Amino acid sequence: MSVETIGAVGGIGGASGVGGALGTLATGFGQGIADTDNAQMTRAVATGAATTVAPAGAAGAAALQAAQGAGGAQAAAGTGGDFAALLAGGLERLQGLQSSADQLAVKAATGDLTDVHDYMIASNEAQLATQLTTAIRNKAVEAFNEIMRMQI
Amino acid sequence: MSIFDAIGIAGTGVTVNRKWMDAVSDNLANINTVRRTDEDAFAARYVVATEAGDGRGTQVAGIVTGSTEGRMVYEPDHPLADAEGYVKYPEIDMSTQMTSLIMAQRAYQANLTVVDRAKDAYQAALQLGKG
Repeated sequence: MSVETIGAVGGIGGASGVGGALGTLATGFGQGIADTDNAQMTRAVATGAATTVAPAGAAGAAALQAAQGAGGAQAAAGTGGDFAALLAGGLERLQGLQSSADQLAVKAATGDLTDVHDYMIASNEAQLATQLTTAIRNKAVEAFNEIMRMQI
Repeated sequence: MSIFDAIGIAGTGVTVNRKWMDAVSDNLANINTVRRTDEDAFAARYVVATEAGDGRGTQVAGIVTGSTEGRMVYEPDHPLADAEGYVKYPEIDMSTQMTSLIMAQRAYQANLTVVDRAKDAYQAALQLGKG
């Protein structure tokens, strides 16, 4: 899987070369957070409806959702098992994004691609997912280093 | 399809408008397609768009064909002309087709712009706190 993963990560740019595995991981991560966001979102929308009747309710709900989403992600990270499952699911989804982009790249090369934008959209999604994954990885490493620097 | 919804939805719009342009190009290509008077004239193709089944975006529900009646044109020298010298041309209005083409092209571009902007927005979100 490691070689494949690396290849998948690279594939993000179109060829998806290095970033594949990392991107897959990151994608999974992002997905998990996104799922948490969804649950929080419904709550946020409900809260928004109850408290604000104004037309600005949608924006308010969105802001609420964003705020609550962040809280939800932190809560999920607090429990080890849930976070691991979240991460695994997210990685799997990133892998899916990468492989679909790779398949479309092959189609483009062989002339079987019917819609040009399909490949461009797939590669953009894979790229974004990879960026998200690396961002999360960087943040996690940052947090770990911060804790390791702690004076005992 | 849950984290990059805006991109996926705009992608369905791009696909539908691509198919619309295909239909228009088919109609324009056949605007001078002549048939015998005892045959059906070339029928224009019209794309019917509908909301996607999963509620995310749009899709082509089907292709509706226009009238096959055509219009009779007097061209006695035409190889397909009947005894009275008539042939049948398709009932396609070029200005209508060109208008449809512009609409399809602009809608295609609009959906691609949505993809671009959504990507910019996601990337901006990833830069949060780094500025």
